Amino acid sequence: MPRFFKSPRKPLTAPSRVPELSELRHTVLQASWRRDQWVSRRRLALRWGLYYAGRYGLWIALLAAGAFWVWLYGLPAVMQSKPEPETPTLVLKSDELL
Amino acid sequence: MSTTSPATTRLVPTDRLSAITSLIAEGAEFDGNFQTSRDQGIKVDGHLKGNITFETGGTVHVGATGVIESTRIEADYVFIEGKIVGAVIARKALEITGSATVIGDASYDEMIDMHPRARVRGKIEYRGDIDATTSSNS
Repeated sequence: MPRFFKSPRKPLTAPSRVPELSELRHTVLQASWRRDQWVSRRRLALRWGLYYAGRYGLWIALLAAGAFWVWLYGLPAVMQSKPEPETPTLVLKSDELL
Repeated sequence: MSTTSPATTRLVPTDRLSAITSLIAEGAEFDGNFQTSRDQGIKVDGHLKGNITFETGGTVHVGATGVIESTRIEADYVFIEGKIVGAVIARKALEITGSATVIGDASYDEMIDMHPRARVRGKIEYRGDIDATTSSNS
């Protein structure tokens, strides 16, 4: 449908809405809280990680070393010592019967 | 628009953190003293060297990125997520979160809450009357 009338253009100098002071303050605080949450969670996780590494790190390292040793030396030895299945021997006795 | 609530506080009321009126933003450096007699609040996300004094009321929130050095902080409510080097005086409640580092003495009149993994090197002092509390319990 053709439009006969152009919509009135906004003047270039149209004043944009100035945010109220409380609105601006609330927005800034929210951005700050978001950043706080991210940074504090990351720092707290690092602190807990360091704590658990200091407390259980030796056991974790021993467990990992044991698993690695089994994977490196234990499994090939088991695979090599595995007995091969016996192949059935076929004996023909048909001539004797005849 | 999604709304984010303030940090998970256990002691300092959330509305006190929402009523912050001054902010030192992340990356900003402020050298000097901050003092007011009004019941307002300040949040420090940047770097501050100097004292913060609220003669009556007041809330101080040190954000996770905030660092305050060579300071003396005095307010009703103090909520610390960042790093403080200096003395802290909380007339009502002092809360130190697990991401916080406090190097210096901290004193409080009513309540204190220190989260696990908080790092404090200094003296923590209750400024109220300990004998009065003991006698009321016994």
